[in-house]
Amino acid sequence: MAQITKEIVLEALSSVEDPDLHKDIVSLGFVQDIRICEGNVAFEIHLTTPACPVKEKLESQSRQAVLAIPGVKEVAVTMKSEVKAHQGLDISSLKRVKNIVAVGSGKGGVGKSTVSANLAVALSLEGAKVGLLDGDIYGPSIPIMMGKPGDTTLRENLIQPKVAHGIKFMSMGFFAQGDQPLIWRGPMAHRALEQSLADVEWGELDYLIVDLPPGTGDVHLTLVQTVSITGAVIVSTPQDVGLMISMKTLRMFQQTNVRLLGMIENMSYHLCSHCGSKEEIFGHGGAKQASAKLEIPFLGEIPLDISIRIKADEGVPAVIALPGSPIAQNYREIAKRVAAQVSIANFSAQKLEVVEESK
Amino acid sequence: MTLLLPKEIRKIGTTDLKITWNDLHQSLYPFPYLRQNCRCAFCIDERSGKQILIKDNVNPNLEAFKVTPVGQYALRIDFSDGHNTGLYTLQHLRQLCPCKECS
Repeated sequence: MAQITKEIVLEALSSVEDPDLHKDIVSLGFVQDIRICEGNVAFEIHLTTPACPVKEKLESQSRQAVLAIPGVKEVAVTMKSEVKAHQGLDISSLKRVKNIVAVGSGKGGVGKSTVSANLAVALSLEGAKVGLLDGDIYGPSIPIMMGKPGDTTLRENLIQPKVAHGIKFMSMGFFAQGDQPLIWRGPMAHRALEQSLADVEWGELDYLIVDLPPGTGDVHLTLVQTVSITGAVIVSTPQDVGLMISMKTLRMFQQTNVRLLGMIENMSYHLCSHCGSKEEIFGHGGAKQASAKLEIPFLGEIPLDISIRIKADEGVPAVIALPGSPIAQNYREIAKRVAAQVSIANFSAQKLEVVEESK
Repeated sequence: MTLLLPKEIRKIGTTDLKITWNDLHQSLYPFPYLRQNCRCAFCIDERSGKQILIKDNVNPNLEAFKVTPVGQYALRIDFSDGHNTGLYTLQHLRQLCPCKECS
């Protein structure tokens, strides 16, 4: 019988393709640490995100591929993940933040903060290290949703982010005193966002989710000018008016060359808590149609459900407060799709870089 | 919409900027020419779009000290006359290509 070699194993594994990146897992460099001992083969698959939506599929396909090699009796596959860093983050305290994902919307009240909080927590449930920055200077609501209002502390001149439900978070609202509003001109908002990014001890993060204020303003401009963000997610209601305005935020990201990771439709429908009937209060499917037209991914839909609001007010995002509920399932599916889009973005990303050539 | 993106951006000494685009087109911009085409609010009136900067007054030997990327969509240039408020978006730079084919 022919000896089983590393080359034979690699060749067998090169038949397994990542459906998102459209390349086989060997040339993507996912396969690591192949060990062969007679009929036993062990290897590791390093994925680009712990929230990989095709994890199980890749694992079983690889196992089958190697088992098909004559002489192989047993296969041990270890699935690991290492989130690839988006290139171009240059602010020193953000050095270990691998990806910044902005969450925007055209208008207020579409549930952007609720979606951001649940998305962040859902990503951490998949095993990723996640941070959440509440960039909404006008209506900072993340501290309430995460159940931790109150002041932040300083250590060695760095703001310590708060920790709740497995993620680190920081809010622009922490710059305000108690119930005082933030009445700021542009430059103040600009400086505050810079501080929230650079002067916070974020540590090592796979994903930093930035919940933007509605529309297109100072905070958005500062974000796209000071850091290189991996991509943006747009939250919209199905309603046409909402979509028309969402389009503006979308165009802003396109103009500033920020990759659109996709659209999430919030308040897609309402399930009556008495009779269970489905009511499409703002219409349905508008965001899906719009994303198809714009050729950007549609990431999923979230219903209008009273429990999401109740849990948010209690300070526990629905995705962990109601595990196993269809809502939590929706959020976790969306988180996986976002993670997949981030991985795709990093494989095709180009960094803007100036080479100095002396003459 | 596919954006034209630079494959490579080179600052050549203190005199020129060279961009190779992803369609392999090459653009070579002398810095005085870029200074003349600055679109910042000091050079072009924000509301009327009227040209404020008198292009002929730009020193033909003007140099640039530094070229820095702004996010993922533009470049900021520090000129030797102290001007640095203009952001040159990639789209604008492509339109500005001074080669024979483009102009």
